[in-house]
Amino acid sequence: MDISKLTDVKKVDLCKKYFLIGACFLPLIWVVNSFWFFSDAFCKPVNNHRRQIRKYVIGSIIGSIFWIIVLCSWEIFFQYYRSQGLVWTDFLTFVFPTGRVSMSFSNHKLFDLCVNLPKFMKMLSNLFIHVQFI
Amino acid sequence: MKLWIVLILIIGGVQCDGFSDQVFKTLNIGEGNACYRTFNKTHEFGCQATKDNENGLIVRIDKHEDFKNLDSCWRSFYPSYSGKFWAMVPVDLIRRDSISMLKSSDCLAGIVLYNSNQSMHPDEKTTAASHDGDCPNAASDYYFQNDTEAYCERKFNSRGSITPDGLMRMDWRVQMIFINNSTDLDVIKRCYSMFNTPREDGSTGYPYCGMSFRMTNMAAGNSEICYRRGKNDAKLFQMNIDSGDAPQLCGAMHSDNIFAFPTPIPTTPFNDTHHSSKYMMVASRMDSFGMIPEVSVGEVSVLTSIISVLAAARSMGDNIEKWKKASNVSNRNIFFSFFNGESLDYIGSGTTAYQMGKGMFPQSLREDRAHIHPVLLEELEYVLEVQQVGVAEGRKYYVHIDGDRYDQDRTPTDKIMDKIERGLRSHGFDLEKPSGSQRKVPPSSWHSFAKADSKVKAVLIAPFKEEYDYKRINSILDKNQWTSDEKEKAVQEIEAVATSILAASAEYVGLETDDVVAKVDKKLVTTLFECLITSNFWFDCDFMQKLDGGRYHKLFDSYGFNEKSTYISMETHTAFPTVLHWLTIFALGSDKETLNVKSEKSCSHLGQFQAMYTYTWQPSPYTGSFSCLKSAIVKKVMVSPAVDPSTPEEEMNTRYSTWMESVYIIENVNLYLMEDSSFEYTMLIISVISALLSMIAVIRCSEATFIVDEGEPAAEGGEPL
Repeated sequence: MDISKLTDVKKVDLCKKYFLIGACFLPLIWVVNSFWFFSDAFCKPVNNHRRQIRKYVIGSIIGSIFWIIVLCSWEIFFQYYRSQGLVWTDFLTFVFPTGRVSMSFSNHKLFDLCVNLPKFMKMLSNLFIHVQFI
Repeated sequence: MKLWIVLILIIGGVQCDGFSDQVFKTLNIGEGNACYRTFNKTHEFGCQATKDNENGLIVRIDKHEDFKNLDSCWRSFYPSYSGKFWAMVPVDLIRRDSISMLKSSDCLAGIVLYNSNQSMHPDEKTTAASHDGDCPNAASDYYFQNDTEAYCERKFNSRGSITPDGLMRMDWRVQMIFINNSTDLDVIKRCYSMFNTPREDGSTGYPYCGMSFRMTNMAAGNSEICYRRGKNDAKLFQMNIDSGDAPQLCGAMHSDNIFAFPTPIPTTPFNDTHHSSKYMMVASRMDSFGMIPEVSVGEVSVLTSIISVLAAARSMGDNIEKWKKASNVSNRNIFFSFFNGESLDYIGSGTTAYQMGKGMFPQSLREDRAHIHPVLLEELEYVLEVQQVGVAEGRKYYVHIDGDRYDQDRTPTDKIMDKIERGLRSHGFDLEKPSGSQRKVPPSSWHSFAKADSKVKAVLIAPFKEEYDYKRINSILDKNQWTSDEKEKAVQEIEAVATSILAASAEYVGLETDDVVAKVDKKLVTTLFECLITSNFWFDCDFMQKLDGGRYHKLFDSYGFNEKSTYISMETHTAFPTVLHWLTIFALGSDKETLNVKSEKSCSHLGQFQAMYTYTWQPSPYTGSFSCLKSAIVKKVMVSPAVDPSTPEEEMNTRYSTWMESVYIIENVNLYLMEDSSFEYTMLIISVISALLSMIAVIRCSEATFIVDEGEPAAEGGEPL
């Protein structure tokens, strides 16, 4: 679909629909919405319609960033403990890694992991701070 | 132009086949010849292939001084080579001083073990070469689990162990293979001598002879992780296309155990719980291991003790009516047990004790028919075991008992020990009975029953007192060169111990011990020694060939079927349980009631609905003629309850063995020539130039280049088309 051929009213409508659909736990829709309507939101002269598009695009961008943080955090967390062959990680694994298990925290249970979660979050925040300085 | 094209086509049209067999010399490595991963509940042991330890340059370590090259990574010999090495090491060089160097070296990819020409004698006293630890089965020790002793307090094997925990309990970073095929060994040695041997001036140069090998284990971590991953509910999303069941990454070590009941156990209706019989179990272990688990003959660890028990069983079988009569009167019975997996935290005896506690030994209860009355733990009075027969210092043996249980009722045990002493004395051996401080039982199958029941007593007959004198228990090197004097002494010891077993058993059932009852067939002992210990394979001697009668079939191309091995392995991957089963049937089977049975089919029909007896169509090892032998012998696969899916309530219970081994994929050894890295650059440049030349040649071609038309010029000259 070539949105340059759409009227402003239809653009607003489409952007709004994408934003609402993305709110149903579909972050990729938000990502698409952000890229698709970014030029309309920020690179063209402002009018009423474009103000509304900007609102939805900003919402989509914030939602996308939120989901990226959540998914990346989960992935790092899961992969960190998955290599240790823990019960809960094995339960969520689709394919068992063969031939290798890191035994540094082999006796941790889920309860201990929750206790260690603040430590892990601190480690993650330190990582982001370092990235910021780079 | 055309000639040029023809030349290119000829060169380009050369037939191309795969040429890996021209690059590699492949040596087949079968199952059991390589070190693989094993696990207990908390640790993993053994070897695993990584990208760092697959390939290496072949070097030799022929004497102890060569180990110093590990520190320098053979820099002085191969200065331009920066990779890893595959070291050829004879097994007898694996010692206390060399093992730490091998373990800590960063330049080893792997170790190629082989038997050296140096032979070992049973009375070898200087070399500590046991691949077991200071305290065999320390974690399963009754006194440790009962909090009576600290972990590994009595170090029975400290004189013989190479490392305190044993080589079987070591997590290697290198790979390891054992080459027993002399042809393959010669190939590797020749490759080394042609390309890797330093010249007269001590220098070497490319190409070098290299080796690659890969042993990939599927499992990792420990038994707990691996066992859990094999369950069907281990994953949230389970999708197994082939069988529907979760693929197994590892398996519990388990194999056949053999139980022989010379005097029949009474049969009872289903709901009869009357316990009246008492039992003495005459036990021996039937397994050992080495640093590569399968490579273990276990001459002293296993075979000599088994021969003494078999000789006693045979004697009992020859006079079975007397024994039956005495057992009926006294209500006391003897039965024989050959436990498998005892060297790995008592797999066989632990499972037996569990089954006895559940009333499932020797058979589970049947609702639809009369069954043999299960042997319960409270009915088991004694475990009489023999160990390490044949290597006594001088002519002295020792008996080991548990002091606390002995004190509960001394008289019967004193009588049994007296009979043992008389039995040994009749063959010129002495017995030292336990005194005050020595009243704890060394590592033995009794520990499994002691944990399960507070009354079972131990009587262990062994040639050691506080420490093993034999320094190669559970070792690749438990394989001796026997001189005729050493053999004669060993046979005398086996005969003496067999006599003492019979004397003790007779005392227990209330049979008068006389020359007939306690007579052991020395010729049989000698024959079994020749066949099981001296021979290269189980069926090399005439006795065993006749006993085989063409029945033996190699089920797998594994070490356990190609060589003499007493490792437990995985059920049917080794021949020894079959060998022992046949020998036990020979010892205790009888054809007196089946003389009219003339075919195998008729014989097998006899045993169809039997609770107690089995009927086996087996040849006589003396004549070779087949007959139908009736016996009460149970060959039963025992899986430790801690790793048995059918006993989930005991999962990972450390009271039982938690040993498992990984499923692995083993590839062949490939020998190849290593070139210098400059060779690669040279070849790269040549290939780039060849590609450019090809492009130049082809780019100038057009359609007209390939159309050969002779008609047109002729037509232009006036000739018809």
